[in-house]
Amino acid sequence: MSVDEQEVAALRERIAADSLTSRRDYLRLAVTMSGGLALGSAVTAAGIFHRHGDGAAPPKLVTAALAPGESVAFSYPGEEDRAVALRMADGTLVAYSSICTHLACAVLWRADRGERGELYCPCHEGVFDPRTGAVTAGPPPRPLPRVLLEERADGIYAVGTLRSGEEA
Amino acid sequence: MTHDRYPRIRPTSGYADPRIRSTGPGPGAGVETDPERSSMLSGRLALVLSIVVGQLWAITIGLNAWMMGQTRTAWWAAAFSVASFLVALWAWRLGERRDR
Ligand code: FES
Repeated sequence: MSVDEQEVAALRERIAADSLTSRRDYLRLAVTMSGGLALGSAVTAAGIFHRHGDGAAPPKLVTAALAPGESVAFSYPGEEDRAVALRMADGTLVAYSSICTHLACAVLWRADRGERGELYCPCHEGVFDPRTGAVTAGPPPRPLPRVLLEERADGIYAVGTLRSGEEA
Repeated sequence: MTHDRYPRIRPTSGYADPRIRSTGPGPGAGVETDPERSSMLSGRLALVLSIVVGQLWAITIGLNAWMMGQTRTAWWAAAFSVASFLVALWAWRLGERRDR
């Protein structure tokens, strides 16, 4: 073996040794992960995440008028809490947070889809029932949070919110 | 074994010989004293890995519940997760002391 070859062999061995992870290392890694998950669960319960479309705000004018089958996008209660108000063909007026409960894409009102139109998330084909906000297809885990509306003389106002799955 | 290589040295060689002040390793030296150590390690690893799977489940439940405003459920999930971690910690520390 020449000196060069020896060096290469030594290097090979060192690299091979580096990539050896023993069961003890895996165990320590898994316990660390377990601690991280416990901490993560605790801070989740304590509330570090923003609950989309949750909270209170003074009544806000959404739009002056809404014809059947049409929708309008707005923000309520915060500027970041995007929402959609729509009037179904039978005249029912509803509004929901338009942030998909799956991975927070924008949910769209599609009057041409389904029997009476549906709230549709194009990201992963999530579908919500426009009457209740419930999930009817796709991966979203929760119903859409509701925005409460009030029809006044000068237009449609957003007046409050309901959490996902909460009934008025 | 020592005896095969040095037939005249026996496990008890040097016993009661006043010239010998310290003996070498006695009979049984150098063999595995705790033969179940390796399978214990595998068992602990398997236990901790299944605990981690359970915690992944708990955090999805907790996050979903919190997003729906069910803070109580989220705290229960967190408590479960912390308890799981304590078991994992025990499984790890338990061996660290014996696993030498
Ligand atoms: S983000 Fe809406 S379905 Fe995935």
